[in-house]
Amino acid sequence: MTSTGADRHLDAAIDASAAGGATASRHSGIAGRVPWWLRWGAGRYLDLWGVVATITLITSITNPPRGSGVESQVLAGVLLLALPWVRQRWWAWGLLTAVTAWGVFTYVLVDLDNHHFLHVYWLTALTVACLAKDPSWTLARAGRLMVGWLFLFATLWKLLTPDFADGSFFAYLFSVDRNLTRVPIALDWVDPDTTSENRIAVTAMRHDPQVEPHPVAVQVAPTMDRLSAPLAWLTIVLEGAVAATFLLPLRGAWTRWREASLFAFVLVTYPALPVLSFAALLIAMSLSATTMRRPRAEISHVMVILAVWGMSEGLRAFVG
Amino acid sequence: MLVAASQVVLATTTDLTPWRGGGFGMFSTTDNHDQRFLRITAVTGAGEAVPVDARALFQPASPVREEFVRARARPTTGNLDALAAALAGADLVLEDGTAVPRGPEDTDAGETDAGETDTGETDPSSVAEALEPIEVVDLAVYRVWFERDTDTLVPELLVEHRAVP
Repeated sequence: MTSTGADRHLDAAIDASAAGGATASRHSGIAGRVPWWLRWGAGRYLDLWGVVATITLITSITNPPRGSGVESQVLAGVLLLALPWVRQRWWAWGLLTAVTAWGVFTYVLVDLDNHHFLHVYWLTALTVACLAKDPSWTLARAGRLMVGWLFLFATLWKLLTPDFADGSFFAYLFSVDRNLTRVPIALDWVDPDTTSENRIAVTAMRHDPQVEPHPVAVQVAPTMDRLSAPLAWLTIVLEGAVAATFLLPLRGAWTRWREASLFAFVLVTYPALPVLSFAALLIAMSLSATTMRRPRAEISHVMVILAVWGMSEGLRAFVG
Repeated sequence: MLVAASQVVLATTTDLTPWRGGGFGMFSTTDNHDQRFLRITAVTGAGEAVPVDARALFQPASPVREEFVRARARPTTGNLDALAAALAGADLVLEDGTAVPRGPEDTDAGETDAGETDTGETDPSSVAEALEPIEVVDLAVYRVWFERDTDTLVPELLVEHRAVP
């Protein structure tokens, strides 16, 4: 096996660090107590590529795209354990991409969510990046453009559909949807009994084969009535901001707006939605393209995922 | 980009729900695959029109789940014909005047002596009645819109189709 350029640099840096640590240990006795292999392994998990790969693989294990079976989960688990050795091997990522893609694209395509497709695209990007002369630069470019384009399409859709911008969509979902009503219920903006009654009324009309389809009155709480249109526009502005900041060739401090807009979107949106894996993939893509300093970049991105996960679990525990 | 752009064209020019098809239209409209619903009537050889419980067709164990999912998300003539053909080939039973796919408990009753009384006679009340062979399937796919002025969920007939499997 041959090392890629980036991995050779990392090896040299870790060796130098280990040597420095060994020297220091003679004086301080602290760094030297950490075995060299642990520092070597940790360095390969905790640098930027390692964190991106780890987030991606954990997502593949815990929430694989629909259609991809247990084999892609097992393979992702093996790759995660072997990450220090295979982190930039094109064949390792290629194998996971092939196994995942086979499952996804032989499944019923119209039963797949957009993040199932995105998962395969991202694994493909990791494979292609490993084949490039500069894997980190290639992955950064792929990650930035994927986030930018997908948010551009998402914004476009929300502008194309008239029932989103006028607040109808949110007014309905915040009165009926089991996941989305958790936040307004937790804030005491919506009565849980009312949302249950709404669900029963709507379900009876939609699913009772003996009932002729008919209009159903839905009780919308006054707060949600007022907020649904502003929330819709806030979503459009946030998604549009993510698209613009990731697609525009920003330089210097302006690139901070990428993380700022994406973090804001992820923290506002995903605690209520049952698609944490989508948030994790977006964070992995953002991290691959970040211009933030280390280790602040890795820590901030991981903290956002943990915050979303914590809020999501908290909402479930609090509201049910 | 090609897939996402094609999905925009497909969803805006055909009956594909914006939520599906590899694009990024999720959470943009109430015309969602999950909000869509079907009314299906199976006409048997005896001329009896029996409503089919469409929701039961979506259950994981349903033998027509794939065809149902396709027909709901993208109700083309081909997809609706495929669903009708799958229904005609499926083992449907009658429950409260509605046709549903035969479940494991129905199968047990049909294949073992679970439906027999102590005397060995069949207890008609414990054995699900099989639906007679289907000659025609009438399918209607609805989507829903939420009217803000009246806070009312309004169903809209998207496609109506008669299939002869």
